[in-house]
Amino acid sequence: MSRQSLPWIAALVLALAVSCVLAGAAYWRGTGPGAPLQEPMHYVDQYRYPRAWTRTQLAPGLPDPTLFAALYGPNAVGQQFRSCCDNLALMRVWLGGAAGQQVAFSLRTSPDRADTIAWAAIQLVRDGYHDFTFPPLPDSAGQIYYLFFEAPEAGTDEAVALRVLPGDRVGGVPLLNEFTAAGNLNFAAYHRGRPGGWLLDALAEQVLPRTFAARLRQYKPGFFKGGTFAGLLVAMAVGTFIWLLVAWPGERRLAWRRGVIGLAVGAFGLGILVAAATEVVAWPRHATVTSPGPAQAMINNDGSALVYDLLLSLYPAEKEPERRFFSTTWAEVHGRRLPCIAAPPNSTLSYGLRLPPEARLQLGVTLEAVGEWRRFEVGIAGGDTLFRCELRGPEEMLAVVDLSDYGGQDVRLLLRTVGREGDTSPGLWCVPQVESARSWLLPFPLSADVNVQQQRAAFGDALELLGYRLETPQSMPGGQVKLTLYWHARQRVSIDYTVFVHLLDEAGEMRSQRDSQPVGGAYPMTIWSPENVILDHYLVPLDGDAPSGRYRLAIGLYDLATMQRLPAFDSAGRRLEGDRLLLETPLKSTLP
Amino acid sequence: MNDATAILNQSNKVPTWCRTHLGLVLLLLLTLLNGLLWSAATPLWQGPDEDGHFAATQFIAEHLRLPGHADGFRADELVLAADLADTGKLHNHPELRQAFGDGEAGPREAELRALDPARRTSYAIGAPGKLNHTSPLYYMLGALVYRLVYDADLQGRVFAVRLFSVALTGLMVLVSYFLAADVLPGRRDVALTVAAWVSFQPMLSFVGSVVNNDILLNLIATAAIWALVRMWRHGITGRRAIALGLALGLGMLTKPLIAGLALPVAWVFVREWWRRRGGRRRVVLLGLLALIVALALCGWWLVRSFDLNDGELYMNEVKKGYRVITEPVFDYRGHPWQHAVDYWASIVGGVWSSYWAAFGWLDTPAAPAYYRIVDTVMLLGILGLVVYSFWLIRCRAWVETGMTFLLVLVVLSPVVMMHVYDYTYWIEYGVGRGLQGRYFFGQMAALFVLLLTGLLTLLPRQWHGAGHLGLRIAMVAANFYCLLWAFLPRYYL
Repeated sequence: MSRQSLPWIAALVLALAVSCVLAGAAYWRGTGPGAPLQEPMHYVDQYRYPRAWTRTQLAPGLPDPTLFAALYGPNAVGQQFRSCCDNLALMRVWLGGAAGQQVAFSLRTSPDRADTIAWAAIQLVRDGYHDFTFPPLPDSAGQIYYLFFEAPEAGTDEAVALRVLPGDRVGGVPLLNEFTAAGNLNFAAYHRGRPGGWLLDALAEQVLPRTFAARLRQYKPGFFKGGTFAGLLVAMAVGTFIWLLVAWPGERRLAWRRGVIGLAVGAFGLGILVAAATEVVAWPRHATVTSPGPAQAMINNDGSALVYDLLLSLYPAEKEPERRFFSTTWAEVHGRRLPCIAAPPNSTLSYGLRLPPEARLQLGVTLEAVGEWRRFEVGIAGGDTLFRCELRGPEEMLAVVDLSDYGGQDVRLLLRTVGREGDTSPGLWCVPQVESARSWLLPFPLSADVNVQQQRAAFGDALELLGYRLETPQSMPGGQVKLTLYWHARQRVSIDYTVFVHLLDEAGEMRSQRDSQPVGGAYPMTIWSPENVILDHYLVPLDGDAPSGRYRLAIGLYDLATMQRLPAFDSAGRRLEGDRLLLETPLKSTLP
Repeated sequence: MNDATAILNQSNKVPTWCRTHLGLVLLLLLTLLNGLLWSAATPLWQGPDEDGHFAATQFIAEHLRLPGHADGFRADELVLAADLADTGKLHNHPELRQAFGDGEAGPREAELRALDPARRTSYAIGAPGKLNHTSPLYYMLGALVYRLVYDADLQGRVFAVRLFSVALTGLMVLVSYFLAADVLPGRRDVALTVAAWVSFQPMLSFVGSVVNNDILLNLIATAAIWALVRMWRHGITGRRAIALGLALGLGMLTKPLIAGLALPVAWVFVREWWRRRGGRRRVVLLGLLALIVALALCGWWLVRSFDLNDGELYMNEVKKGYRVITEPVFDYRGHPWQHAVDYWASIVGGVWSSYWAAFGWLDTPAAPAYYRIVDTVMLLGILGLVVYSFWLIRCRAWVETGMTFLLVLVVLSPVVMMHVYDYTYWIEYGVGRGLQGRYFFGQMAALFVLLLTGLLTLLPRQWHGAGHLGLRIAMVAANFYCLLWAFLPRYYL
């Protein structure tokens, strides 16, 4: 082998290797009008002159765009997205946490576990992108899918972190269990290319994802409607290649063919380097053979469930001082690495929340700066301070703040970081999350040992009442009736209906009433899953002057926007009069 | 040609006419194509102060006169367009990005196209046209282009003026080639690589493809530096003095930043005065000739600016409170040393970053690795330049040594002068000017000649051809990277 032939052989080997890698992957990144594509972006310091403006001067600068959602225990974190193309075959998501932790993926056609079409479990190796592969879905173009993650073995103090991009207009909505939050999980969807056309598909999509291609047509002069930008891009690439050849530098005797092959090798090499650096080419690193998973109840009545993740919601939160002073980071708390909000001294974060019953805020606070002092406070706007602790750095603590007094209420939750004048280092709020005990949820179907008065009735096509439990006062009149309704959604509903409970006397006159959205408005019907039974409590007061006689309860549902009642049917399918279910009660007034 | 140049030239045979010139022509075409891509990718008003620059252009085109005292507002059409296209100023906040629809047209694009033409000359909204009273040459030329497409809708007119900027970028690439060819005569590869770097430098590609007077200043400043280089190498003649005066006068008519070349201009004339012992009077007269030509071109504007802005150089932006930076966190008055430390820290850190990539309203940077690569290449280039300078001195190649010093002065002079200017601003107005890398693009060709010379010095001679190829590919890759993986995701995701 002569020295002259070495470049040829090297070029051939490299070209073959690159082809094999591309052929083996044969994926391309799909984009579309949902949120199938998310690219991490890079931020350096803002334009801050006249103070020294350097890249190392990170704080107070722009917030780190990276937010996190913490995942642990029985919770599921997911996101809806629309597949732009057929053959959806790979999802890539950023995960962080301790090595060895188990994370389960599931791909569903609805938020319900029963609609799982593929699932897999992986062990975390390191912080970074992890791949979830499954057999290609041939007709996935335009379909809505839900990608869910669970880390059942992780505790709250060793949560797995999902990276979140803050509220964007691409339309993504993360799901914390059934609850929605602003933002987008940082993930990308990949599709297998068309047979025979994968290379062109992949190249076109990697270079100019179709999200860009579509949006680059809008708010442009007529010339740029259509595929003009893509055409110009191709012309630019080809023209540059020709120019590099025509303007070949150096001595004339350099062989053209050596130049061509050198350029080709260089382009391939550069392409692969760029692809590897930007993770454009998707070669699976945690490939997993998957199959449809068994439907399981997602309720764990022994534990609490995640309702709000304050770290994930950092962007929409109100901030004092301005938002650029807040960022996110990681911190060691009790030996565990946790994602945190970094808040400057003398700052306040304010979240508007509707708190569920039996809610609690769990969090960690830490101060890393040696010798500094901070006070961390949690309170309700216009109300009490619920939690206060003082730390002298370096110090840390984990805490649980009881919010049950505010169940069902719209509140502004305040996280205050108080420091001394001249202090600069941030106080860290680690994994601040609102949880709820969720005693109002049971798995469907109800087990036999649940003490409930069976009374089936259907409301509309989707909702049904399975039964009720009634606790009446010892003496009449006065007191109040405690009624618990056991609701079930046969399928998803699109309207948050309101429940009415009327107490009727013997003549049919209404003596008392309670109208409310289920669970005090904290668990709207639109997020009800067919997997669950929802316990809905009402206290119906009895007037002191209630006349004697037997009393009945009338129960039904109506749409608050139109005040129209939902059609009601008994267990035999007969329409109920007045679209209400009448329950006999053991109440009987003793007044003359 | 001295010994040093001869030694350097031995390593690179001059390529044929065909390859060099065809390469240059192709490069110019690519520059235009590249500018077209960046123009299309940049949403309305996202160039630096683009709405203000277009407002001044539009005013001249619509009224066929320069804005006077009472004309301090943007036309209502521009304010409404920002609302309809959802692009007032796309801040670094994901919630504040442009809204898109599903089809070919944006959600309110039809309304944007149907804006009443009377809005072009109505100022009822009263939005400040903060650049209406700045140096007008770019706007006057842009107004000619505007008139050519007068009947087009706003997007068409903006895009036409953007294309005018792209054409100016092409001219800058051409002048950069000639400048480099005169600095290192006989080394056409270097000239072509410098031209390619200017053509594909990502931040220049961006600034050179939006409505902005910087690009005309860059072209004129490059031409002025070329004139200085020719004076240095071939001596000052009447024609060269007139050429320099033309460049400086037109530059002053475009943006006062051209004054940053005052030190190198003075240096060239002082050196000539020192050399020409028998003809010093002639040198002084040629200097006066250049000054007269420059003043003949821009004198009327200095007078007008004094009337409009209470200063011969534009600064009513500060007086009227339009400054972008209004909340300095440190008062430098009385602290010149602290100001100097922070100023140069800004230059080395942030301004250097924004020289290479900080798109939009300076809030769309590239990945940190990109800047690390740039920093590394820069440091290597400086190291090589030091070695090259020692080598020139050892060879007693005084003309080349002086040329290198001249280019260093060209690059550093505006930075030093801005330092002084900024501190005087503090003393007078209580705020700083604020700096961006694009202010120094006029010196880009000179910087790249120095950088390239330094890098090639570090390479063995037989690798120079490969070095040129690698450096050209690197800048092309930087351009594609910035467009596709930094700029588009920022605005279109």
